[in-house]
Amino acid sequence: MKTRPSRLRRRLGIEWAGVALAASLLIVGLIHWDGLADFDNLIYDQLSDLDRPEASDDILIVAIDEDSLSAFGKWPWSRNRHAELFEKMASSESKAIAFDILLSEASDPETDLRLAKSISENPNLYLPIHLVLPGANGAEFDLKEPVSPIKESAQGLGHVNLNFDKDGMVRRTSLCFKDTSGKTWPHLMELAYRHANGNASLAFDRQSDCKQNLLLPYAARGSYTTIPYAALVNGEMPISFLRDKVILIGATAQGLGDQHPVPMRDGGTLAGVEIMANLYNALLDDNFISPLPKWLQLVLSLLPVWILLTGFWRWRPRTTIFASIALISLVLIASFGLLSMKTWFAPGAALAGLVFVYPIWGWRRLQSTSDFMDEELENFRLAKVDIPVVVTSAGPVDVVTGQAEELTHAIAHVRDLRRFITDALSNLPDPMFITGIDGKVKFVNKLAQTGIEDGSQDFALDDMLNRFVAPEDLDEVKEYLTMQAKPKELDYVDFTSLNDEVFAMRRASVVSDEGELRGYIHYLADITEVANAAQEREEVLQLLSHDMRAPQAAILALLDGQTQSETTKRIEKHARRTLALADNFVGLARIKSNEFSGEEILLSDLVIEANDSLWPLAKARNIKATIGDESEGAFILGEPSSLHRSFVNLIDNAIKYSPDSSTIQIIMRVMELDKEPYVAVSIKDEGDGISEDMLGNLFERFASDDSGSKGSVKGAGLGLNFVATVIERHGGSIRAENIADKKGIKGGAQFTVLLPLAPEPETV
Amino acid sequence: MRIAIADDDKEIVEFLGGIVEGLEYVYAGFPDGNALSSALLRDTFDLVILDWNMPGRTGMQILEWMEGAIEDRPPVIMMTSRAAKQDISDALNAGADDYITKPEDPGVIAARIQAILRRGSGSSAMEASAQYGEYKLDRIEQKVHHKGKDISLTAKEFELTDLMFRNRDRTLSRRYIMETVWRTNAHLATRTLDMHVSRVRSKLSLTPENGFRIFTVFGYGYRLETLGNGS
Repeated sequence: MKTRPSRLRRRLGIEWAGVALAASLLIVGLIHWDGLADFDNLIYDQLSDLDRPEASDDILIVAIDEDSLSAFGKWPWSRNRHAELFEKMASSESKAIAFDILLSEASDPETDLRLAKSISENPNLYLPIHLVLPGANGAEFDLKEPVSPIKESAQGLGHVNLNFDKDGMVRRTSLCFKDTSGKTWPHLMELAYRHANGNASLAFDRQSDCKQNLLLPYAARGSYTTIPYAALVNGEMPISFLRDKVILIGATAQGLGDQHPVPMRDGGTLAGVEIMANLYNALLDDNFISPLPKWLQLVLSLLPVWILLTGFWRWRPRTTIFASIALISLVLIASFGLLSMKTWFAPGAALAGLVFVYPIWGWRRLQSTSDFMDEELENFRLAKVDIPVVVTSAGPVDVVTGQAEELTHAIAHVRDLRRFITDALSNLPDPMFITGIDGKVKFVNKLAQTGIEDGSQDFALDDMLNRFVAPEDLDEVKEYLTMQAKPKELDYVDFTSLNDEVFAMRRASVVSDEGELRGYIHYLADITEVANAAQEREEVLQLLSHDMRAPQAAILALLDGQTQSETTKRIEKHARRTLALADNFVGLARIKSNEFSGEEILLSDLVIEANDSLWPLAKARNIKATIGDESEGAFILGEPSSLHRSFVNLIDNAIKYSPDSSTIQIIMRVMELDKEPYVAVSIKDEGDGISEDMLGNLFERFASDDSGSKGSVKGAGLGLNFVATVIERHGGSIRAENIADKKGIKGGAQFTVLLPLAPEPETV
Repeated sequence: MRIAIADDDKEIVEFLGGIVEGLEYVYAGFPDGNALSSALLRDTFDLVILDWNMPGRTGMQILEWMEGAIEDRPPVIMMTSRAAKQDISDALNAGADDYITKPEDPGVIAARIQAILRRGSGSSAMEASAQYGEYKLDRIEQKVHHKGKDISLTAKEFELTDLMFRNRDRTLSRRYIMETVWRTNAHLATRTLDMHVSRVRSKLSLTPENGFRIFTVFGYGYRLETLGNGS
């Protein structure tokens, strides 16, 4: 039982590790190869739309718009037009001027000269340089500067390159550019900022090199004050309007080509000059958005996925789905929160991980569980537990549902089985109880007198015994119950209950399939009647033993005072026969009801004493008993009283059937039978022997030689039966035969008793 | 010598009384245990012969009562019709000085009574030699003379022989024999005593023909019985 869940657990553990590894690798890969850039940009666009910066009033865009085109004609205009503007602006007291128009080709020299001159009249005017990507003749880029002398007339040159994302959007910018000669070109706006504020921007100072891209926060479209070029040139707008402003001059008209897609919700484009306005605005507010370093991006992406993976072990499936949704929201909220703190955390990888891990784990878990259920059901079948075939009326079902239904049936079946067993146990005719290995009573039947209800229980065993077993038998019962291995003769215990009933209790182990001990069954048989009968029988035997003997003893005592006559002799003989009969009868009954318990006996002396006790009888008829002891002091294990009585019976018998003045030969010797040592005792008389028809049933009860050859001596019948019973009880045997005359010795009946030798005592 | 005889069987009382009178002692008969116990409280006896099974109080109950109630109680011979080994050893272990299973030969009963009384009178003086029937014990040479022959015995065998003859017709417990002859109460192998008794029996030919027999009281001990012409 213990091994199975851990198998499923191990399998799930492996699956889980696999899922965790796959999810982590996915996230690492996505971050490393920027696989979800499009998705991340989309999220970025949506999020940044929620929080747009305010446009600064310091910035003024002078737009070459449709109105200006219609006022001055088609582009490109003569450079005299620009010279005219710059001459006007010289007196404007603007903070800085950035002129975002390319002047890389020469026009007629006089005009260029005029322009250069007008530019130099504005000491705060900056011009752009352009990078052409890719450059001519395999160069990475070509640098396009304004023509001389215009170039020299400007306060400085700044790069105006736009960084396009893969989707063509302008989200990022770099504040400087390093060309192949190693020269660093700050951005045009950075130059304007420096001029206006007298120092480099904070963002510029912060960055470590020019490759670093910053995300540009866009103010809402049209947030910057814009005036048409024409209106300024025509004097529709006073020049004083430019005072204390940073002036950005650039093309906004659709036809002029300086329009770029930007991340705005309306999806439209933005003129290059307005993008630059946004850049300047960001420099001013120092609110560029910097992307997280990759390692931090990785950590933040892995974190929610691992939280979910850990949760799989702890949470219920329903909880995990809510947790997944919560984690997805959390990632988005974190991303937005960081964004408003000017840091960009791309949520794509984390979201992908979360979205990946939930169904994959669900699938692997279901697969493992399904396999496990399959296996378990198979085990169940192998264990020969009969599971009824599942019949679903609802038509085809999916595999796992099928397994679940089958499992439900199996459980119901086991429940039925349990009920069946409980019913069977409850209907047992005799009391019983079951204990578990914890020593507690688990089930009880028909033990109402203990005050415990029938059925399943959880009750201390000692408590129950105290309520049931009579105090004098308690120790014996407890000793029986604590025995581990029971000797055969102790496979049950008798005890009297508190209600004076007598029970025999047997205990059997309950062992599981794996051979593990699960508990014990105790079965109690009510043997009150048997015990009472045995008790009565013992009382009857006691009575018989005394009450039959006592009158005979009195008769013999009475006779003792009388003068000897034929009558008194015969009365005495009959009294003695009755005594012998009583002794044999009681002895027989008693040994049949008692367990054999032997002690060490020196057999030769026992036989000699038996013979000694019959000496008066033998002497009266001048019969001599010779004892040949070759038993070498052999000891046997025996019950002395019954053995003594047996040999008395045998020798008495020999005397009875011997003619007067004959000899009885008693020979004892040690011999081997089937390699086991025995003592053989043979007793031979010189009588007429045993008749053929008597030989067969000599040792049966009440067999007595009534053939009448010697009418004066009659066996009590019980005598030899007693002997045979006793000898058999000692593991010995007895044999009777007739011996023919030989070598001058008269033949007769011979009884031979074989008794096994006692084992040698351990020498101390 | 005054001997109290308690038996519910009148014939037995008279039979035993005849034996006692034959020994030239006096006896008083009692028909049950209660009569005996009240007599014991106000009278003195040298020996009590008790029947086990009596109406009123049984012999065993009286024996137990005597242990506590009578100061310097007289020796007790338990008479019983019970022949079971357990009964005999129970009686002896309960304090009876001897037991006799009914029926028993009058000569044997007389010898047993005398054995008990002999102990009471204390014939402990150890002569250099002693004659028991046809056996003459030479305590200096540690030899037994029988029918014109010297029988040589080991020291333990002689001591055992001497002990049994001196206590003839008395039932001796195994423990008593062990402690007297081997001077130890350690548990000697049970076989040791059995073998010694067996050797004494066979060397001395202690058979009824020679006037003696050794009787084993199973579960208790031994008794050397004198038969017929034993002194």
